[in-house]
Amino acid sequence: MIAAGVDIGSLSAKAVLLNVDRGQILGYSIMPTGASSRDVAERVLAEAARRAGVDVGKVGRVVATGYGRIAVPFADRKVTEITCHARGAYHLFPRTRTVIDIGGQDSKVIRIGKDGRVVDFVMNDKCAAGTGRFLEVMARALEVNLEDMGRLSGLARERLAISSMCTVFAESEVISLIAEGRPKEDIIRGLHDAVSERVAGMAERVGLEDSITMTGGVAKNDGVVRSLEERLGVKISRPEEPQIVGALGAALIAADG
Amino acid sequence: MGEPMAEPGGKRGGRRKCEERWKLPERAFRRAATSALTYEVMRWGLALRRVFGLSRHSLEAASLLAEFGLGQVGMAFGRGRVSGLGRRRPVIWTSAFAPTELLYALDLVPFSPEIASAAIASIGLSGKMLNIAEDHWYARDSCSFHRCAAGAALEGYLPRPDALVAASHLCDGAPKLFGNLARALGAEFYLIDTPWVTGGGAGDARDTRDAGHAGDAEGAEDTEDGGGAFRDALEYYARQLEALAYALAHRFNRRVDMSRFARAIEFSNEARHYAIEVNKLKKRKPCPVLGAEVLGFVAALFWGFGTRDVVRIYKRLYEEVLARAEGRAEARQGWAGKGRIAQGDGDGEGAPERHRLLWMHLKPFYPNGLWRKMEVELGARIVFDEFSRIYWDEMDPERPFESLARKALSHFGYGRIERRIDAALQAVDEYSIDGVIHFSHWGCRQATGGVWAIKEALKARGIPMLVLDGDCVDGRNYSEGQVMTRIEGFLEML
Ligand code: SF4
Repeated sequence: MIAAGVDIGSLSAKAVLLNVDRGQILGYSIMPTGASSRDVAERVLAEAARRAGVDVGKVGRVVATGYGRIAVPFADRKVTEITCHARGAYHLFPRTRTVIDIGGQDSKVIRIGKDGRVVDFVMNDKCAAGTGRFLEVMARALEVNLEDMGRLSGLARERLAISSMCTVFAESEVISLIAEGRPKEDIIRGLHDAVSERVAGMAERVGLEDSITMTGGVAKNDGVVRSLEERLGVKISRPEEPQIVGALGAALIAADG
Repeated sequence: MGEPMAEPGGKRGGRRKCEERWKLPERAFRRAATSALTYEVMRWGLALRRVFGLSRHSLEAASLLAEFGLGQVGMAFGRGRVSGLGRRRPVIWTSAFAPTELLYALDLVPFSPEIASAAIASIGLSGKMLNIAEDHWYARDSCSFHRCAAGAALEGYLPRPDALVAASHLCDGAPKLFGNLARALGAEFYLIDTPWVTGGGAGDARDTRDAGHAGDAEGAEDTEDGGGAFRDALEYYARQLEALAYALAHRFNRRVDMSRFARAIEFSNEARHYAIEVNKLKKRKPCPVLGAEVLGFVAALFWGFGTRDVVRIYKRLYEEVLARAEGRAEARQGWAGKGRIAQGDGDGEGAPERHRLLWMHLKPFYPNGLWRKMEVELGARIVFDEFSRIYWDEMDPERPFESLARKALSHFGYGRIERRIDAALQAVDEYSIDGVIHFSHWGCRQATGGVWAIKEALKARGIPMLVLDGDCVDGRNYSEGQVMTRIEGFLEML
């Protein structure tokens, strides 16, 4: 049987197809969520099926997760991204005890027990600080590609502190730093530190435990990961494709039946 | 003001909703909202619907409570006269935990601005009042129960007070707000200073439990913060209450009639008795009543103790919950009168009881879909909430001031955080709780300050706790999706 997980996030939609018998990922896809969660749910699943080379009709069970999970009409079950990220991360790295997930509009820290069950979690409050959106706004202000930020921050020479947590104020701080002629690389590193400071605070609240797995789009950003590792003093595991961990967890739950 | 106890059914709160709902021109609305007649008509409407079995409340007691609330508000707007009848009675604004028994004994009309805020939120008008308060420099990080009341008071939406009484009990903000409003509204302000020495009462896990027996208060005095200090505090508090009674009597031409005080205390005791019986029924599995149906009864606690009406309300509540628990056919069931809630496996429209939760602090009062989703669809029942706890011992009608002082000082939320923790742990045991939700109301320092300690204590017992940040009155930032994700994630974890 083939099981599927569909994760409709605020910025991007993800789908994973799983071969239930062999526990193997058959294919996945990622695309921008856009205006309609309902449409994108169908498209992202169809695309994942196309890549896996299977017929969408063959998909047995579907579990939907993410902010838009309620808008996935064909889902057999809806499970929160908290449970799904934990499940996905535990599947990939069974020694995981803490999951740090930074997505488009949410960031969360999940603590999991030895059996992979969620023990506790915290999520950011209604604020873009410490989320993907924060970095996206800053990338625009700096006129760099979001994808390049990680690499650029590696070239930083000085430690700059961005003191505002508020996205709007931080943006003007960035603009004045540019005006002062500070190198972009240093500013970017400062921004990454700001994100990791926020997230580390959340990790503190649930009680950090080794080992740590990072998921979500921002896990692709080496700069944030590096900054977090420095701050927490631990090594962080990252899946090859951190964005699909929630959808993978959903697919695993679908496979459970 | 509307039905303070209305069960929220809508989807989203906030300003837009209120503007959509109230298309009336401002002036007409204000006139209607501040007229005693409006509340009298509404009260009669509710009473008629109840009598003819058309009430949309799933519990008759909830309807009785709403009628009581409307009656009190009508009375307050009529300056103590219902529809212009009867003699004028002064209106006294009271903060939560100010002893209403004392005011009823003096034949004064207590009015609670904090409950008014909850009611304003429940009809979707809090956004408007909050904006007004903020325009008058009330800081956005202050408690919205107070901010909303301030806005409504400044706009003339609340009945004018003849005096204001605030207790520095639990809440840090109340005395400041009340003092401020007294100045703005030109009324007298009385403060009941609550000493930071507590003890006794059923709130103290060391000596009693909620289940009715009065507990060894004397014993508690010896252990709690030193016996002598407690006795001094009790004396200090009781003397303040006595002085307050005489001051109000003098100011408003009343007599301090000890038989009236005794009667108010007896009513209070009776209501307490039924409230305890209701709590005992909540221990049953499945719990015969939804949290959404009874969380609003906190209004009775803050506003009505000392009246015959509230005895009737709790007695009716007890009878109805008992009828349900015994599965009697005449028992009214369900969600706001519609449909049955499942008592066993799948015998109702909603999900059967899957989780038994303890709710800490107050709930959001603006229209929202949380309750229906949690309790009816997901079967996560709020079996007990902190404010349903009957924390004080039975009072002695012969010694009203001392009894009321003892009641105030025995609150579990006052004093050291261990008292609140003990109360929570006790509830976990008694009500077979498997998860705790703490609603951390924005701006409430007293409730949110101890969250960490409570969480640690529960963790040591293996009970998970979700700390939900939110606002009980201000729906302007409320996002149902975000809150539901946290709640669902928590339930999946249990
Ligand atoms: S919620 Fe907290 S701050 Fe607000 S009135 Fe109640 S006790 Fe005071």
